[in-house]
Amino acid sequence: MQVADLGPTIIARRRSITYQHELRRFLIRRVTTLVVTLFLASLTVFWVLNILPGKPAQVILGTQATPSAVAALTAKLGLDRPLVDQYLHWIHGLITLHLGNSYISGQPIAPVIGSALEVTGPLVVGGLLVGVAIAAPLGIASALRHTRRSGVILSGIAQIGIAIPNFVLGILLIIIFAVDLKALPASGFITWSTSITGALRSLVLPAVSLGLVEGAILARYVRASIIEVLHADFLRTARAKGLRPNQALLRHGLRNASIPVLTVLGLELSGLIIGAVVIEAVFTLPGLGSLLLSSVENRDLITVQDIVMLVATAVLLVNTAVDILYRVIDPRMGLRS
Amino acid sequence: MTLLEVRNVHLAIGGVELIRDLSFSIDTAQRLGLIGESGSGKSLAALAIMGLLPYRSTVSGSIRLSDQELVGLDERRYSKLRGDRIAMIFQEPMTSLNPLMRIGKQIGEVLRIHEGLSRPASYAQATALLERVGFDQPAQQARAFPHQLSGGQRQRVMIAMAIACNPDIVLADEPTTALDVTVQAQVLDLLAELTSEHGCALMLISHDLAVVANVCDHIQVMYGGAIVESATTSELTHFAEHPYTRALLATSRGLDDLDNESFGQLPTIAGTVPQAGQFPPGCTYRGRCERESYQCQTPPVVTGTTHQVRCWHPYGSSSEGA
Repeated sequence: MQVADLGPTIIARRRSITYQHELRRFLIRRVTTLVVTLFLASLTVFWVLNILPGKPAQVILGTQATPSAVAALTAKLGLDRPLVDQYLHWIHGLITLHLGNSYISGQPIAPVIGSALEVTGPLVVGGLLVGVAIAAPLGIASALRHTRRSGVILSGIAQIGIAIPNFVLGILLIIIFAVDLKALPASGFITWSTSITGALRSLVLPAVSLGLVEGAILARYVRASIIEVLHADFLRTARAKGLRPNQALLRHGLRNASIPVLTVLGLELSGLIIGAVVIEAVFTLPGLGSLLLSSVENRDLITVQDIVMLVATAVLLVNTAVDILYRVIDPRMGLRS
Repeated sequence: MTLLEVRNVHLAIGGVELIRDLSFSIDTAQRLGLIGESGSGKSLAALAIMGLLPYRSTVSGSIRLSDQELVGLDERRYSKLRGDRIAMIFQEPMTSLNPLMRIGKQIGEVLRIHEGLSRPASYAQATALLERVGFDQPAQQARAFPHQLSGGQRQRVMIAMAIACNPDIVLADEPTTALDVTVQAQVLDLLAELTSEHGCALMLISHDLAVVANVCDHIQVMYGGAIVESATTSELTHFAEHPYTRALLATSRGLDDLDNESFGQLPTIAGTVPQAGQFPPGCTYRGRCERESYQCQTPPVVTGTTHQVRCWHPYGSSSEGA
């Protein structure tokens, strides 16, 4: 009897050991993939920016500069060294967070990017939150009413949201809330250290114009996956157990519906970062986008390289996080592949 | 005592009439079989009783459970009956369970809804139910997700869910159709055993006459959204009167004959089931029937009391051969 009772326990324990083992292997594999991808991304970024025409030294010194002056500056910037050397030097800098000095100002880049991130980071996160806050209720409501006219109207609203480019929306919001109502600032950024509420106030309109469009796109995916779940057999089973329609959706539907939405959310994040570049221009925010644009104009290639690499890292990290989240949500997605 | 009474039910989806004038009743602890080809409306009949019809469905007539009228019952009160007094087992065990929830929790949920059990208590009860439906390591298997179980095991989980609250009646819609032949019989036996243990009535829906005949004491044959013949199992299998029932019997007997030496053609029913809403006026079996006459253009009336048949030209009780 004793032995028979022990059987399942031993098996259960062994199972959980294999699970942990598999989980560890999965995480190791996923992180390895991340590192390899980051390496390939860094190679691509470096290569693309170094085959661009227009030598930085020439741009800095202007067209009137003598060839010897250009050569001298090139040597000073370290751009006469072999590409492999330059690449390794850059990578070493990235890993140790010494991002090098700007070609133009000669100042260290890290603090410049740091203060730009103080704007862009909250802007992107805020845009994402606004997007989700719009997409979830709008998508669910239009899915629940998809057989009725009100549902068609709701998805029509989402359709309009998709059709409006975010910079147009930004200008519209400036006209309404900054010019007419004078409720929020139209442009510029009050740093966090000066005033936290001031910083938040200057980010509200940009985040909303960024988030509204992403939210409209996301709402369509939320709607589609909720409708699919509403027709799922297991939701009917849930109702047959005695759950009312909304309870059944809440307890059995939302988690299932979140899987495809999560995919889109991960993909949209890169859209948000690109959108932030445009929105920062509309609201003249001193963020990563503005820094990127001015660095490109000035041929400050090292800064461009750093920013692009930073964005690539952020996107890859999000993708990895999404991949791991899938496994948390959906037990069918084993840990093996 | 009559437990469930269906009277003159008409059902249409999007204006297409799929069930016409359905009437039958089930007594306490009775086992009723409902057979017919796909499209005959048998699944819809079960969903109508559950109140889980698809959008744009309209039902008229009366469905009474004990003395409670179900047609037009509001959602709040209906949901209190579902899972508690009427339970249903669906055809597709693969998709009928929530893929993201452990089965112990899914079974326990019924008890939490209707008996107000706490999460741990419902889980313990679910484990006990798993044991009753034949899981050999219930404590461990309660932690499994549906994709880790076989089709037969999943259908056992569905049965455990259905009987959890000792309902008055279980509606089983083709519960074994998606299963391997070898586990079909086990699942059916289990279903019959567990329902009779608690004096629970069973309505078994199938296209397979043999399945129904093994389990049920009374059989109803559906065709074109109406019941064409209704009798006790032995009466129906031995003295079928409706030409359609006879044809059905002939097809399943044909399968039995294959075991012997008559390796001939399988008997089939001439023609195909018309598409929903395209059944001919009058007798719905018109066009496929060997006994058809001009009279069949008007809808046949139901004759008989214990053995009812809806036909103008039924075969005489036992005198005429099949």
